[in-house]
Amino acid sequence: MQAVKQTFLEGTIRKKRVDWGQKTRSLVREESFGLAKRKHFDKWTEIRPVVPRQQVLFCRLEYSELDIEETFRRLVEEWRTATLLSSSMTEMCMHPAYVRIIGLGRPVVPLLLRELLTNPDHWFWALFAITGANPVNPSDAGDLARMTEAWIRWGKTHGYI
Amino acid sequence: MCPHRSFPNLILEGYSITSPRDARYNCIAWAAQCTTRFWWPGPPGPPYSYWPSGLRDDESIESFVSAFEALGYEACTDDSYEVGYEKVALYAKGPKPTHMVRQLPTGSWTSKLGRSVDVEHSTLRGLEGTAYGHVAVILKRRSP
Repeated sequence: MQAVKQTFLEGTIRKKRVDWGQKTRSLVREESFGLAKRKHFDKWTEIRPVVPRQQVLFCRLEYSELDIEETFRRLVEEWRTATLLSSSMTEMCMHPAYVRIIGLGRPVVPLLLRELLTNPDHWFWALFAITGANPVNPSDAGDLARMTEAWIRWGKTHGYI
Repeated sequence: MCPHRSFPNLILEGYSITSPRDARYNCIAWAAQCTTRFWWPGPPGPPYSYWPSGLRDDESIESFVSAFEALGYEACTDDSYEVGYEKVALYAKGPKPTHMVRQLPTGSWTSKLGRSVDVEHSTLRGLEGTAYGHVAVILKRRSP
């Protein structure tokens, strides 16, 4: 008896003949997978294609404009709720929601600038992290009104608002 | 805004909200009697928060004590009201400062809760807990 052992095959799975004692079964299946796993279940042999670890797919999430705005609003709300009672600039800027806003990239710059206009808050670090720019005069550090003014002026000059 | 949801001791100790929400200044600024800047030792990069120049600017209890020593404060041992003195207290979670409060002439304390409201509370214990930790240092200076 030719026992079927568990094997991993690469490329095309070819026709195989398997003997179980007096019974013979032939596997008539030819398919191409990256890898396939052959498992012995009692007297049945089954070929189950599996996605091999080497072929894990990474896909880049492409946000539509509406998605970005929706995601941004949700993250702003999450950030505000979580950090409202904190006085720590570090804690505010390192909060996961704040970091994720930075991760949304340049498309979120107009939204941040509009947020500064309508509901001023400490978005300056996010704007710096996304754009690399810093229009704030060091002597205005900590002055929300002046820092907002500097960034709004920058946003208008660069066509974001 | 219900501060007692985050600070359950406030209900027992008593408090009142004394200002609307304001992101322009934080508790450190309020303790230093400033309402126009956000005070915090800066993270690396462009300074978007204010910290007195020439002083230690890491997030340590010593940094905060230095900043207030520059304003004329010195360490003291108790939180009782003393005529002719102003007192502030620094809260910390372990070695990390979290909050500051300032004593009023009535003997109660005033706090700016992050970027939200100001509150007046009877005791320092009112804000102790999971959010701000415990009182680490009390400082005092002669009233101007």
